[in-house]
Amino acid sequence: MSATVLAFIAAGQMAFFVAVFLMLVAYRLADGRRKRRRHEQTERLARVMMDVLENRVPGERLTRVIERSRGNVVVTVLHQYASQMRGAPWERVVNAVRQSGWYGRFVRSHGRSRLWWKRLAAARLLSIAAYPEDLELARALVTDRHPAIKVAAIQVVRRIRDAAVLETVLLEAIAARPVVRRYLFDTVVSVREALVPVLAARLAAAGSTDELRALVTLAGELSAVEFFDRLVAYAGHESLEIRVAVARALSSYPHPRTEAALTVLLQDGEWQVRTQAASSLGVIRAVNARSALDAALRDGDWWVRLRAGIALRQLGPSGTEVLHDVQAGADRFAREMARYVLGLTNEAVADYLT
Amino acid sequence: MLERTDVTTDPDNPDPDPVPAAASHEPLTHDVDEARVARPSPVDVVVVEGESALAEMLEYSVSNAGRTALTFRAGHSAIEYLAGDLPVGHAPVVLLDLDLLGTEGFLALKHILAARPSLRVIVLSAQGAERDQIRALRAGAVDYLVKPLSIPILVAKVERLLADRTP
Repeated sequence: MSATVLAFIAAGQMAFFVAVFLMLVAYRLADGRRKRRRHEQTERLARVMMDVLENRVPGERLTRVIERSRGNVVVTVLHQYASQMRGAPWERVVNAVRQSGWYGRFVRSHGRSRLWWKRLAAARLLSIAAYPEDLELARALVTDRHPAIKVAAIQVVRRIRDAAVLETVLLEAIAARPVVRRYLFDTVVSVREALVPVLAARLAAAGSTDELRALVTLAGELSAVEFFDRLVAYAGHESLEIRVAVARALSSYPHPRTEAALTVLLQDGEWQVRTQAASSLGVIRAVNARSALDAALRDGDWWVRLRAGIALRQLGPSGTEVLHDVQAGADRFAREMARYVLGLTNEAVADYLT
Repeated sequence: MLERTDVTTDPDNPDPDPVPAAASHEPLTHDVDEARVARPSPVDVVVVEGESALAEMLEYSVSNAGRTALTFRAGHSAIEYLAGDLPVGHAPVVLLDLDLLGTEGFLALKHILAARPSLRVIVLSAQGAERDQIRALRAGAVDYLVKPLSIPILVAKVERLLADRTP
């Protein structure tokens, strides 16, 4: 290769590195300017928002500042304050935001965008500033295929207690994967007054086993007396999964009928149901179920015996007395379990419940 | 299992007398007068609640914890008992369904607490307005829970108050 060609390649490489260096410098400068501008906008917006929250200036001032700010900056600042403010002051801010032409433009352009991050920004905005007229878009975003958008949009239920949206959220939660389902359930649980009638109606008309299991689980977490009769009725369901879910849910409903239903489930053909029933009897401290738990200590399944033993410990002195009797009894398996459970510290027993 | 044969919904007698849920789990099948004579003493929790399932759950939890509960299904007899008939020196935890007392609920609450300042009253209500909660707390209630209630949370609050009372 001739010296000319090598010099040519070296010059090319040098030019390339110089170009990259210049681009990096230009990027840093542009980025710095963008951050400064963003910071200035954030500061100005936050200042005016604080003034509106404290009723020092009219909402129109905020409306004007919003019109001159970037959409994402507005959404971010609104979110910062929404987590700290509520009631009339926050509604003054929301009114000012909605009166700006920006709100309508932003929600229209982002809410139906093909780009997920734009839909996410619209969902975040709706979650803190939605009015009933935004319900249709909110429902569309709740059913979005992107989990982040779904999770953001579902926060709308905190502002608008709409039964149709809540039911949509419930159905989405049931169809979602466990982590997303957990998140959706946590959100709807925060609006329990509105959720209870919706869930009660859905519980009465549940379709698939999966749906019913999820609804029973949620009813157990809400532990509202409105679900009690329905849960007790489902204790005799043909599906193993439902019976297990009911046995778990009933641990939130201390009642003589719960005790009776759990005592029946303690005789179930499936060990999973018997295990959960024994556990729940302990949680409700069903002292009248001592003899049933005593019998469960002789169960053929180790898990049932363990949970029955732990439940007896939870009953207090009367349950411990049963364990001492069993420890001196003839049944080898029951004797070993009673000895094991009696040897546990109170902290260890508490650990079994978590 | 506890049987509540002595609670009536007879329209001629809309204000049934209180019935204790004894700590022992023998069925209570005696009539109202016998129940009054046989009332365990002292009463640890007084439940004033119109919703029978909720009242029964509270009774069940309290009695399984070895305590005594007394339930009223009507407001006026509860006020009479708390402000007048309650033995001197007893300071039970009171779960008071404010809606059961009608429009004069806050006045009744003030009246009860003026007569027995040592009572620890948890107010239960379907009305969740902040103004109502503030009124109840200012009147002397220790807590205000909005229906639909979380039963385990309510039971835990009652247990906490009972534990605080235990010397």
